[in-house]
Amino acid sequence: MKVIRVLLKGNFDDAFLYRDRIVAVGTNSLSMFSLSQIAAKIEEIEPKTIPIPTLLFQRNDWTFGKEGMPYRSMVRNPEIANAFIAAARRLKNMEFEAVQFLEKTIRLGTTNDILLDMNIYNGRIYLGGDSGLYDCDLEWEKLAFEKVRHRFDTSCINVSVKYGAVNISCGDEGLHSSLNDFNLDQGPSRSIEKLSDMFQQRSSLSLRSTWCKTNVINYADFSNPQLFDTSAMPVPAGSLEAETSLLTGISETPWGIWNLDRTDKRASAVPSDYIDYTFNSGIHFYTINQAGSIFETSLKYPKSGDRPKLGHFSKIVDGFKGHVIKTLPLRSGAVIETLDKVFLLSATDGIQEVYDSPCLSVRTFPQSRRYKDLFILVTKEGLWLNSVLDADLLDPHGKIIDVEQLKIPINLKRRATDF
Amino acid sequence: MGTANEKGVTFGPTKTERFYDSLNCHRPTSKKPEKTKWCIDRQGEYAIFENADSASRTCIKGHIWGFGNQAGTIVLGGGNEVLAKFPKVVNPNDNWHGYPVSPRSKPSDAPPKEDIKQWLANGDIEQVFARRLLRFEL
Repeated sequence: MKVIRVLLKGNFDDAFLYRDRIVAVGTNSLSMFSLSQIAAKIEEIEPKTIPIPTLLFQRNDWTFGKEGMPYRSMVRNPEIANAFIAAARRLKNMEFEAVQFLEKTIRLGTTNDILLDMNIYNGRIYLGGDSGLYDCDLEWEKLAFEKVRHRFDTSCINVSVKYGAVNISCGDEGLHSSLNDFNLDQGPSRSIEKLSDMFQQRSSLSLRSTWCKTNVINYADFSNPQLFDTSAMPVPAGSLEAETSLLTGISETPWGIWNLDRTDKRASAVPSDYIDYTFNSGIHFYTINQAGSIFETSLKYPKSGDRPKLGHFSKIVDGFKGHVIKTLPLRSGAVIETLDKVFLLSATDGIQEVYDSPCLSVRTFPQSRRYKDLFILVTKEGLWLNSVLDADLLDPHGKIIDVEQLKIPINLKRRATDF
Repeated sequence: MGTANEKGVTFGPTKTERFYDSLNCHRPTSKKPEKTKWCIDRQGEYAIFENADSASRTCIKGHIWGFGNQAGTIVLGGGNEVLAKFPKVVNPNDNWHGYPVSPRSKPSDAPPKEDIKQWLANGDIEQVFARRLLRFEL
Protein backbone atom coordinates (compact mmCIF):
# COMPACT_ATOMS: atom_id res chain seq x y z
CA MET A 1 0.00 0.00 0.00
CA LYS A 2 1.16 3.53 -0.72
CA VAL A 3 -0.15 6.78 0.67
CA ILE A 4 -0.63 9.75 -1.65
CA ARG A 5 -1.18 12.96 0.24
CA VAL A 6 -1.49 16.70 -0.09
CA LEU A 7 -1.13 19.37 2.56
CA LEU A 8 -3.72 22.12 2.96
CA LYS A 9 -1.85 24.68 5.04
CA GLY A 10 -3.86 26.43 7.73
CA ASN A 11 -4.66 26.53 11.41
CA PHE A 12 -7.11 23.77 12.30
CA ASP A 13 -8.01 21.71 15.37
CA ASP A 14 -9.78 18.85 13.62
CA ALA A 15 -11.42 17.92 10.33
CA PHE A 16 -14.04 15.52 8.97
CA LEU A 17 -15.03 14.39 5.45
CA TYR A 18 -18.73 14.44 4.70
CA ARG A 19 -20.87 14.84 1.57
CA ASP A 20 -18.06 16.00 -0.72
CA ARG A 21 -16.72 18.43 1.86
CA ILE A 22 -13.89 18.79 4.32
CA VAL A 23 -15.42 20.25 7.47
CA ALA A 24 -12.47 21.73 9.38
CA VAL A 25 -12.84 23.04 12.91
CA GLY A 26 -10.82 26.06 14.00
CA THR A 27 -11.22 28.40 16.95
CA ASN A 28 -14.98 28.82 17.31
CA SER A 29 -15.54 28.26 13.61
CA LEU A 30 -16.16 25.67 10.93
CA SER A 31 -14.41 26.01 7.58
CA MET A 32 -15.95 24.21 4.61
CA PHE A 33 -13.88 23.04 1.63
CA SER A 34 -15.35 21.28 -1.39
CA LEU A 35 -13.45 18.10 -2.27
CA SER A 36 -14.63 18.35 -5.89
CA GLN A 37 -13.27 21.87 -6.14
CA ILE A 38 -9.99 20.87 -4.49
CA ALA A 39 -9.54 18.01 -6.97
CA ALA A 40 -10.49 20.22 -9.92
CA LYS A 41 -8.20 23.08 -8.88
CA ILE A 42 -5.22 20.79 -8.30
CA GLU A 43 -5.77 19.25 -11.73
CA GLU A 44 -6.00 22.77 -13.18
CA ILE A 45 -2.79 23.91 -11.48
CA GLU A 46 -0.92 20.67 -12.23
CA PRO A 47 -2.57 18.98 -15.25
CA LYS A 48 -0.01 16.17 -15.15
CA THR A 49 -1.62 14.92 -11.94
CA ILE A 50 -4.88 14.08 -13.77
CA PRO A 51 -6.82 11.89 -12.81
CA ILE A 52 -5.23 11.18 -9.42
CA PRO A 53 -6.76 14.07 -7.40
CA THR A 54 -10.28 13.16 -8.50
CA LEU A 55 -9.72 9.45 -8.14
CA LEU A 56 -8.06 9.47 -4.75
CA PHE A 57 -9.62 12.42 -2.95
CA GLN A 58 -13.03 13.06 -4.49
CA ARG A 59 -14.07 9.55 -5.53
CA ASN A 60 -11.92 7.24 -3.45
CA ASP A 61 -14.64 4.57 -3.94
CA TRP A 62 -13.74 4.34 -7.64
CA THR A 63 -10.66 2.31 -6.71
CA PHE A 64 -12.34 -0.54 -4.81
CA GLY A 65 -15.54 -2.60 -4.63
CA LYS A 66 -18.10 -2.66 -7.46
CA GLU A 67 -17.45 0.99 -8.31
CA GLY A 68 -13.75 0.19 -8.72
CA MET A 69 -14.14 -2.46 -11.42
CA PRO A 70 -13.41 -0.10 -14.37
CA TYR A 71 -10.33 1.28 -12.61
CA ARG A 72 -9.00 -2.18 -11.79
CA SER A 73 -9.56 -3.35 -15.36
CA MET A 74 -7.84 -0.30 -16.80
CA VAL A 75 -4.71 -0.51 -14.68
CA ARG A 76 -4.08 -4.07 -15.83
CA ASN A 77 -2.71 -2.36 -18.91
CA PRO A 78 0.94 -1.56 -17.95
CA GLU A 79 0.96 1.70 -19.92
CA ILE A 80 -2.11 3.00 -18.10
CA ALA A 81 -0.69 1.83 -14.78
CA ASN A 82 2.55 3.63 -15.60
CA ALA A 83 0.65 6.84 -16.37
CA PHE A 84 -1.21 6.58 -13.05
CA ILE A 85 2.05 6.13 -11.15
CA ALA A 86 3.63 9.11 -12.92
CA ALA A 87 0.60 11.26 -12.04
CA ALA A 88 0.69 10.07 -8.44
CA ARG A 89 4.40 10.87 -8.17
CA ARG A 90 3.72 14.35 -9.49
CA LEU A 91 1.04 14.92 -6.83
CA LYS A 92 3.04 13.46 -3.95
CA ASN A 93 3.34 15.77 -0.93
CA MET A 94 2.08 18.86 -2.79
CA GLU A 95 1.30 21.80 -0.55
CA PHE A 96 -1.47 24.35 -0.97
CA GLU A 97 -2.79 27.24 1.10
CA ALA A 98 -6.13 25.94 2.37
CA VAL A 99 -7.73 29.36 2.05
CA GLN A 100 -7.68 29.15 -1.77
CA PHE A 101 -10.15 26.26 -1.56
CA LEU A 102 -12.34 27.80 1.15
CA GLU A 103 -16.04 27.60 0.39
CA LYS A 104 -17.46 29.08 3.57
CA THR A 105 -16.57 29.84 7.19
CA ILE A 106 -19.27 29.50 9.81
CA ARG A 107 -18.89 31.18 13.20
CA LEU A 108 -20.08 28.85 15.94
CA GLY A 109 -20.32 31.25 18.85
CA THR A 110 -19.58 28.46 21.31
CA THR A 111 -17.49 28.72 24.45
CA ASN A 112 -13.72 28.49 24.55
CA ASP A 113 -13.78 24.73 24.76
CA ILE A 114 -10.87 22.56 23.74
CA LEU A 115 -12.24 20.34 20.99
CA LEU A 116 -11.82 16.69 21.96
CA ASP A 117 -13.80 14.88 19.25
CA MET A 118 -16.21 15.45 16.40
CA ASN A 119 -18.58 13.44 14.26
CA ILE A 120 -21.02 14.13 11.45
CA TYR A 121 -24.02 11.90 10.90
CA ASN A 122 -27.33 12.31 9.09
CA GLY A 123 -26.50 15.94 8.36
CA ARG A 124 -25.82 16.79 12.01
CA ILE A 125 -22.44 17.96 13.31
CA TYR A 126 -21.48 16.77 16.80
CA LEU A 127 -18.65 18.52 18.66
CA GLY A 128 -17.28 17.06 21.89
CA GLY A 129 -15.44 19.55 24.09
CA ASP A 130 -14.18 19.84 27.63
CA SER A 131 -17.45 21.46 28.72
CA GLY A 132 -19.70 18.95 26.99
CA LEU A 133 -21.37 17.92 23.75
CA TYR A 134 -22.66 20.42 21.20
CA ASP A 135 -24.50 19.79 17.95
CA CYS A 136 -25.91 21.70 15.03
CA ASP A 137 -28.07 20.70 12.08
CA LEU A 138 -26.59 22.08 8.91
CA GLU A 139 -28.46 22.85 5.72
CA TRP A 140 -25.84 21.31 3.47
CA GLU A 141 -26.94 22.91 0.20
CA LYS A 142 -26.70 26.45 1.58
CA LEU A 143 -24.17 25.66 4.32
CA ALA A 144 -26.38 27.43 6.84
CA PHE A 145 -27.52 26.49 10.29
CA GLU A 146 -29.92 27.86 12.89
CA LYS A 147 -28.12 27.41 16.19
CA VAL A 148 -25.58 25.36 18.10
CA ARG A 149 -27.20 23.33 20.88
CA HIS A 150 -25.44 22.41 24.10
CA ARG A 151 -26.55 18.80 24.48
CA PHE A 152 -24.63 17.51 27.49
CA ASP A 153 -22.52 19.29 30.06
CA THR A 154 -19.80 16.76 30.95
CA SER A 155 -16.40 16.69 29.24
CA CYS A 156 -16.96 14.61 26.11
CA ILE A 157 -13.88 12.79 24.80
CA ASN A 158 -15.46 10.56 22.14
CA VAL A 159 -18.62 10.78 20.03
CA SER A 160 -19.83 7.68 18.21
CA VAL A 161 -22.99 7.81 16.09
CA LYS A 162 -24.79 5.08 14.16
CA TYR A 163 -28.28 3.58 13.80
CA GLY A 164 -29.82 6.86 14.97
CA ALA A 165 -28.07 6.62 18.35
CA VAL A 166 -25.33 8.78 19.85
CA ASN A 167 -22.87 7.35 22.36
CA ILE A 168 -20.62 9.77 24.19
CA SER A 169 -17.62 8.73 26.28
CA CYS A 170 -16.88 11.01 29.20
CA GLY A 171 -13.92 9.22 30.85
CA ASP A 172 -14.63 8.60 34.53
CA GLU A 173 -18.03 10.29 34.08
CA GLY A 174 -19.11 7.29 32.04
CA LEU A 175 -20.76 6.25 28.78
CA HIS A 176 -24.03 7.99 27.89
CA SER A 177 -26.39 7.16 25.03
CA SER A 178 -29.19 8.97 23.28
CA LEU A 179 -31.36 6.57 21.29
CA ASN A 180 -33.49 7.84 18.40
CA ASP A 181 -31.53 11.09 18.43
CA PHE A 182 -33.35 12.26 15.29
CA ASN A 183 -36.84 11.64 16.71
CA LEU A 184 -37.94 9.44 13.87
CA ASP A 185 -41.68 8.83 14.02
CA GLN A 186 -41.10 5.11 14.12
CA GLY A 187 -38.83 5.34 17.14
CA PRO A 188 -39.59 4.98 20.84
CA SER A 189 -41.45 8.07 22.06
CA ARG A 190 -39.94 10.19 24.82
CA SER A 191 -40.99 13.06 26.96
CA ILE A 192 -38.01 15.38 27.17
CA GLU A 193 -37.74 18.49 29.33
CA LYS A 194 -34.03 19.14 28.85
CA LEU A 195 -31.77 18.16 25.96
CA SER A 196 -29.41 16.39 28.36
CA ASP A 197 -32.32 14.16 29.46
CA MET A 198 -32.10 12.44 26.09
CA PHE A 199 -28.92 10.78 27.35
CA GLN A 200 -28.96 7.78 29.63
CA GLN A 201 -25.85 6.50 31.43
CA ARG A 202 -24.77 3.00 30.33
CA SER A 203 -21.43 2.59 32.07
CA SER A 204 -19.50 4.38 34.80
CA LEU A 205 -16.30 4.50 32.77
CA SER A 206 -15.71 5.03 29.08
CA LEU A 207 -12.69 6.15 27.09
CA ARG A 208 -14.16 5.32 23.72
CA SER A 209 -17.07 3.46 22.14
CA THR A 210 -17.45 1.80 18.76
CA TRP A 211 -19.88 -0.49 16.98
CA CYS A 212 -19.89 -4.20 16.22
CA LYS A 213 -22.88 -4.78 13.94
CA THR A 214 -25.63 -3.07 15.97
CA ASN A 215 -23.95 -3.86 19.31
CA VAL A 216 -22.16 -1.14 21.23
CA ILE A 217 -18.55 -1.75 22.26
CA ASN A 218 -17.41 0.23 25.30
CA TYR A 219 -13.75 0.72 26.06
CA ALA A 220 -13.66 1.36 29.80
CA ASP A 221 -9.97 0.64 29.33
CA PHE A 222 -8.04 -0.50 26.27
CA SER A 223 -7.42 -4.04 27.49
CA ASN A 224 -10.89 -5.44 28.08
CA PRO A 225 -13.59 -4.12 25.72
CA GLN A 226 -17.21 -4.69 26.72
CA LEU A 227 -20.09 -5.60 24.42
CA PHE A 228 -23.55 -4.17 25.07
CA ASP A 229 -26.35 -6.15 23.48
CA THR A 230 -28.90 -3.99 21.68
CA SER A 231 -32.34 -4.13 20.08
CA ALA A 232 -33.23 -2.42 16.83
CA MET A 233 -36.17 -1.84 14.54
CA PRO A 234 -36.23 -1.36 10.76
CA VAL A 235 -36.45 2.12 9.25
CA PRO A 236 -36.68 3.08 5.57
CA ALA A 237 -33.33 3.57 3.82
CA GLY A 238 -32.47 7.25 3.61
CA SER A 239 -33.91 8.27 6.95
CA LEU A 240 -30.60 7.51 8.70
CA GLU A 241 -27.91 7.83 6.03
CA ALA A 242 -27.89 4.44 4.25
CA GLU A 243 -28.76 2.47 7.39
CA THR A 244 -32.00 0.57 7.69
CA SER A 245 -32.00 -0.04 11.46
CA LEU A 246 -32.84 2.24 14.34
CA LEU A 247 -31.46 1.35 17.76
CA THR A 248 -34.28 1.02 20.29
CA GLY A 249 -32.56 -0.41 23.35
CA ILE A 250 -29.21 -1.13 24.97
CA SER A 251 -28.76 -3.86 27.57
CA GLU A 252 -27.93 -2.84 31.13
CA THR A 253 -25.08 -5.30 31.65
CA PRO A 254 -22.25 -5.68 29.16
CA TRP A 255 -20.28 -8.82 28.33
CA GLY A 256 -16.49 -8.86 28.43
CA ILE A 257 -15.37 -9.61 24.89
CA TRP A 258 -12.61 -11.95 26.07
CA ASN A 259 -15.13 -13.85 28.24
CA LEU A 260 -17.42 -14.73 25.33
CA ASP A 261 -17.71 -18.41 24.40
CA ARG A 262 -15.26 -19.62 21.78
CA THR A 263 -16.30 -20.85 18.35
CA ASP A 264 -14.01 -23.77 18.94
CA LYS A 265 -13.03 -24.98 22.40
CA ARG A 266 -9.55 -25.66 21.06
CA ALA A 267 -9.28 -22.07 19.81
CA SER A 268 -6.27 -20.25 21.18
CA ALA A 269 -6.91 -18.05 24.19
CA VAL A 270 -6.40 -14.31 24.48
CA PRO A 271 -2.65 -13.71 24.03
CA SER A 272 -1.23 -14.17 27.48
CA ASP A 273 1.27 -11.32 27.30
CA TYR A 274 0.00 -8.07 28.74
CA ILE A 275 -2.42 -6.40 26.32
CA ASP A 276 -1.33 -2.81 25.77
CA TYR A 277 -4.13 -1.76 23.44
CA THR A 278 -7.26 -3.20 21.83
CA PHE A 279 -9.39 -1.84 19.01
CA ASN A 280 -12.08 -3.11 16.70
CA SER A 281 -13.27 -2.51 13.19
CA GLY A 282 -16.78 -3.93 13.16
CA ILE A 283 -16.58 -7.60 14.13
CA HIS A 284 -12.79 -7.70 13.84
CA PHE A 285 -10.83 -7.16 17.06
CA TYR A 286 -7.11 -6.43 17.26
CA THR A 287 -4.85 -6.51 20.30
CA ILE A 288 -1.37 -5.07 20.60
CA ASN A 289 0.76 -6.46 23.40
CA GLN A 290 3.75 -4.95 25.14
CA ALA A 291 6.10 -7.08 23.06
CA GLY A 292 4.77 -5.31 19.94
CA SER A 293 2.82 -8.24 18.49
CA ILE A 294 -0.55 -7.49 16.88
CA PHE A 295 -3.20 -10.24 16.97
CA GLU A 296 -6.50 -10.41 15.14
CA THR A 297 -9.69 -12.24 16.03
CA SER A 298 -13.33 -11.80 15.09
CA LEU A 299 -16.77 -12.32 16.57
CA LYS A 300 -19.08 -14.82 14.92
CA TYR A 301 -22.80 -14.08 15.22
CA PRO A 302 -24.92 -17.24 15.22
CA LYS A 303 -28.08 -17.19 13.09
CA SER A 304 -30.14 -18.04 16.16
CA GLY A 305 -29.60 -14.52 17.48
CA ASP A 306 -27.62 -15.76 20.48
CA ARG A 307 -24.62 -13.97 21.85
CA PRO A 308 -21.65 -13.82 19.46
CA LYS A 309 -18.70 -16.15 19.92
CA LEU A 310 -15.02 -15.39 19.85
CA GLY A 311 -12.95 -16.89 17.05
CA HIS A 312 -9.28 -17.84 16.74
CA PHE A 313 -6.49 -15.38 17.43
CA SER A 314 -3.87 -15.04 14.76
CA LYS A 315 -0.71 -12.98 14.88
CA ILE A 316 -0.53 -10.50 12.01
CA VAL A 317 2.46 -8.32 12.93
CA ASP A 318 5.52 -8.76 15.12
CA GLY A 319 7.96 -6.23 16.51
CA PHE A 320 5.85 -3.08 16.39
CA LYS A 321 7.43 -0.35 18.52
CA GLY A 322 5.66 2.70 19.86
CA HIS A 323 3.11 3.63 22.50
CA VAL A 324 -0.29 3.50 20.79
CA ILE A 325 -2.51 6.52 21.37
CA LYS A 326 -5.31 5.63 19.02
CA THR A 327 -6.07 3.20 16.21
CA LEU A 328 -8.68 3.85 13.54
CA PRO A 329 -9.99 1.45 10.89
CA LEU A 330 -9.70 1.98 7.13
CA ARG A 331 -11.05 -0.20 4.33
CA SER A 332 -7.57 -1.52 3.63
CA GLY A 333 -6.32 -1.77 7.21
CA ALA A 334 -5.91 0.72 10.02
CA VAL A 335 -4.13 3.93 10.94
CA ILE A 336 -2.14 3.71 14.17
CA GLU A 337 -1.28 6.91 16.04
CA THR A 338 1.57 6.67 18.53
CA LEU A 339 3.08 9.33 20.78
CA ASP A 340 5.08 10.91 17.99
CA LYS A 341 4.32 9.05 14.77
CA VAL A 342 1.51 7.73 12.59
CA PHE A 343 1.61 4.32 10.89
CA LEU A 344 -0.45 2.50 8.30
CA LEU A 345 -1.25 -1.14 9.08
CA SER A 346 -2.30 -3.25 6.11
CA ALA A 347 -2.63 -6.96 5.47
CA THR A 348 -0.29 -6.82 2.49
CA ASP A 349 2.52 -4.61 3.78
CA GLY A 350 2.39 -4.83 7.57
CA ILE A 351 3.36 -1.57 9.26
CA GLN A 352 4.53 1.49 7.37
CA GLU A 353 5.32 4.92 8.80
CA VAL A 354 3.27 7.74 7.28
CA TYR A 355 4.04 10.73 9.51
CA ASP A 356 6.80 11.43 12.01
CA SER A 357 5.44 14.10 14.39
CA PRO A 358 2.59 14.22 16.92
CA CYS A 359 -0.82 14.94 15.36
CA LEU A 360 -3.64 17.08 16.72
CA SER A 361 -6.13 14.76 15.13
CA VAL A 362 -6.18 11.54 13.12
CA ARG A 363 -9.41 10.58 11.44
CA THR A 364 -10.70 7.80 9.16
CA PHE A 365 -14.14 7.36 7.59
CA PRO A 366 -15.00 3.66 7.40
CA GLN A 367 -18.76 4.37 7.59
CA SER A 368 -18.70 6.60 4.53
CA ARG A 369 -19.35 5.40 1.00
CA ARG A 370 -16.70 7.43 -0.80
CA TYR A 371 -13.91 7.92 1.73
CA LYS A 372 -13.25 4.45 3.16
CA ASP A 373 -9.56 4.59 2.23
CA LEU A 374 -8.95 8.26 3.02
CA PHE A 375 -7.56 9.57 6.26
CA ILE A 376 -6.92 13.03 7.60
CA LEU A 377 -4.05 14.14 9.80
CA VAL A 378 -4.35 17.55 11.40
CA THR A 379 -0.96 18.90 12.42
CA LYS A 380 0.65 22.23 13.24
CA GLU A 381 1.28 22.65 9.51
CA GLY A 382 -2.33 22.18 8.48
CA LEU A 383 -4.49 19.41 7.19
CA TRP A 384 -2.98 16.39 5.43
CA LEU A 385 -5.42 14.67 3.12
CA ASN A 386 -4.18 11.11 2.64
CA SER A 387 -5.40 8.46 0.24
CA VAL A 388 -4.30 4.83 0.30
CA LEU A 389 -3.36 3.37 -3.05
CA ASP A 390 -2.92 -0.31 -3.78
CA ALA A 391 0.59 -0.24 -5.26
CA ASP A 392 0.56 -3.97 -6.08
CA LEU A 393 -2.48 -3.47 -8.31
CA LEU A 394 -0.67 -0.81 -10.34
CA ASP A 395 2.63 -2.63 -10.43
CA PRO A 396 2.06 -6.37 -9.94
CA HIS A 397 5.51 -7.38 -11.17
CA GLY A 398 7.46 -4.77 -9.24
CA LYS A 399 9.01 -3.27 -12.36
CA ILE A 400 7.99 0.33 -11.76
CA ILE A 401 7.86 0.66 -8.00
CA ASP A 402 10.38 -0.91 -5.69
CA VAL A 403 7.78 -3.42 -4.56
CA GLU A 404 10.16 -5.90 -2.98
CA GLN A 405 11.10 -3.47 -0.26
CA LEU A 406 7.47 -2.67 0.44
CA LYS A 407 6.71 -6.30 1.15
CA ILE A 408 9.01 -6.47 4.16
CA PRO A 409 6.44 -6.88 6.96
CA ILE A 410 8.02 -4.37 9.29
CA ASN A 411 9.59 -1.55 7.41
CA LEU A 412 9.99 1.39 9.70
CA LYS A 413 12.85 2.95 7.74
CA ARG A 414 10.88 3.32 4.56
CA ARG A 415 7.78 5.48 4.66
CA ALA A 416 4.52 4.63 2.97
CA THR A 417 4.64 8.13 1.53
CA ASP A 418 7.93 7.43 -0.32
CA PHE A 419 7.06 6.79 -3.90
CA MET B 1 24.13 14.80 43.45
CA GLY B 2 21.73 13.18 45.87
CA THR B 3 22.22 11.57 49.23
CA ALA B 4 21.52 7.84 49.46
CA ASN B 5 19.41 6.50 52.32
CA GLU B 6 17.38 3.38 53.06
CA LYS B 7 14.30 4.62 51.11
CA GLY B 8 16.23 5.80 48.07
CA VAL B 9 18.10 9.00 47.21
CA THR B 10 17.29 12.50 48.48
CA PHE B 11 17.88 15.53 46.25
CA GLY B 12 17.55 19.25 46.86
CA PRO B 13 16.77 21.78 47.91
CA THR B 14 15.08 23.21 44.83
CA LYS B 15 14.79 26.95 44.27
CA THR B 16 11.62 26.85 46.35
CA GLU B 17 13.48 25.07 49.20
CA ARG B 18 11.87 21.70 48.62
CA PHE B 19 13.62 18.34 49.03
CA TYR B 20 12.86 15.37 46.83
CA ASP B 21 13.07 11.64 47.60
CA SER B 22 13.68 9.36 44.63
CA LEU B 23 12.10 6.27 46.20
CA ASN B 24 13.44 2.77 45.56
CA CYS B 25 9.90 1.39 45.27
CA HIS B 26 9.38 3.41 42.04
CA ARG B 27 12.70 2.40 40.49
CA PRO B 28 12.86 -0.38 37.84
CA THR B 29 14.59 -2.76 40.28
CA SER B 30 11.63 -2.64 42.70
CA LYS B 31 9.64 -5.86 42.98
CA LYS B 32 6.38 -4.13 43.92
CA PRO B 33 4.07 -4.69 40.92
CA GLU B 34 1.49 -2.18 42.15
CA LYS B 35 3.99 0.68 41.85
CA THR B 36 4.67 2.40 38.54
CA LYS B 37 8.38 2.61 37.71
CA TRP B 38 10.52 5.38 36.28
CA CYS B 39 12.50 4.45 33.15
CA ILE B 40 14.80 7.47 33.46
CA ASP B 41 17.68 7.70 35.95
CA ARG B 42 17.32 9.24 39.40
CA GLN B 43 18.94 12.51 38.34
CA GLY B 44 16.45 12.76 35.47
CA GLU B 45 13.61 12.00 37.88
CA TYR B 46 14.71 14.88 40.10
CA ALA B 47 15.10 17.16 37.05
CA ILE B 48 11.43 16.50 36.17
CA PHE B 49 10.42 17.46 39.72
CA GLU B 50 12.70 20.50 39.85
CA ASN B 51 11.38 21.78 36.54
CA ALA B 52 7.73 21.30 37.57
CA ASP B 53 8.41 22.91 40.94
CA SER B 54 10.12 25.98 39.48
CA ALA B 55 7.29 26.33 36.93
CA SER B 56 4.80 26.28 39.86
CA ARG B 57 2.87 23.49 38.17
CA THR B 58 0.80 22.78 41.28
CA CYS B 59 -2.81 21.83 40.59
CA ILE B 60 -5.92 22.90 42.49
CA LYS B 61 -5.59 19.72 44.58
CA GLY B 62 -2.03 20.59 45.64
CA HIS B 63 -0.19 17.95 43.57
CA ILE B 64 2.74 18.92 41.35
CA TRP B 65 2.77 17.58 37.77
CA GLY B 66 5.82 16.97 35.60
CA PHE B 67 6.63 15.96 32.04
CA GLY B 68 9.63 15.76 29.75
CA ASN B 69 8.66 18.20 27.00
CA GLN B 70 5.82 20.48 25.90
CA ALA B 71 4.47 17.96 23.40
CA GLY B 72 4.32 15.19 26.00
CA THR B 73 6.25 12.76 23.83
CA ILE B 74 9.08 11.84 26.22
CA VAL B 75 8.47 8.53 27.96
CA LEU B 76 9.22 8.71 31.69
CA GLY B 77 7.88 5.38 32.93
CA GLY B 78 8.27 1.68 32.18
CA GLY B 79 4.59 1.51 31.17
CA ASN B 80 5.12 4.25 28.55
CA GLU B 81 3.92 6.97 30.93
CA VAL B 82 4.75 10.53 29.86
CA LEU B 83 3.30 12.26 32.90
CA ALA B 84 4.59 12.32 36.49
CA LYS B 85 2.61 13.04 39.63
CA PHE B 86 4.21 14.42 42.79
CA PRO B 87 1.45 14.05 45.38
CA LYS B 88 0.79 16.83 47.87
CA VAL B 89 2.80 16.41 51.07
CA VAL B 90 1.04 16.34 54.45
CA ASN B 91 3.35 18.87 56.12
CA PRO B 92 4.93 21.75 54.18
CA ASN B 93 8.42 20.72 55.29
CA ASP B 94 8.06 17.05 54.28
CA ASN B 95 10.18 15.75 51.42
CA TRP B 96 8.32 15.28 48.14
CA HIS B 97 8.28 12.13 46.06
CA GLY B 98 6.73 11.17 42.75
CA TYR B 99 6.04 8.52 40.14
CA PRO B 100 4.97 8.15 36.51
CA VAL B 101 1.18 8.02 35.95
CA SER B 102 -1.12 7.03 33.11
CA PRO B 103 -4.61 8.63 33.20
CA ARG B 104 -5.60 6.07 30.54
CA SER B 105 -4.88 3.21 32.95
CA LYS B 106 -6.16 5.06 36.00
CA PRO B 107 -8.42 8.05 35.22
CA SER B 108 -8.19 9.27 38.82
CA ASP B 109 -4.51 10.01 38.08
CA ALA B 110 -5.42 12.69 35.53
CA PRO B 111 -4.63 16.32 36.34
CA PRO B 112 -7.75 18.52 36.79
CA LYS B 113 -8.95 19.86 33.43
CA GLU B 114 -8.85 23.46 34.71
CA ASP B 115 -5.10 23.06 35.30
CA ILE B 116 -4.51 21.44 31.91
CA LYS B 117 -6.23 24.41 30.25
CA GLN B 118 -4.14 26.82 32.32
CA TRP B 119 -0.88 25.07 31.36
CA LEU B 120 -1.94 25.34 27.72
CA ALA B 121 -2.77 29.03 28.11
CA ASN B 122 0.62 29.62 29.80
CA GLY B 123 2.45 27.88 26.96
CA ASP B 124 3.74 25.16 29.31
CA ILE B 125 2.28 22.47 27.07
CA GLU B 126 1.32 22.22 23.42
CA GLN B 127 -2.23 21.72 22.21
CA VAL B 128 -1.56 18.12 21.19
CA PHE B 129 -0.48 17.28 24.76
CA ALA B 130 -3.45 19.11 26.31
CA ARG B 131 -5.93 17.27 24.12
CA ARG B 132 -4.34 13.89 24.77
CA LEU B 133 -4.47 14.52 28.52
CA LEU B 134 -8.11 15.63 28.40
CA ARG B 135 -8.99 12.57 26.30
CA PHE B 136 -7.26 10.15 28.74
CA GLU B 137 -5.12 8.92 25.85
CA LEU B 138 -1.81 8.88 27.72
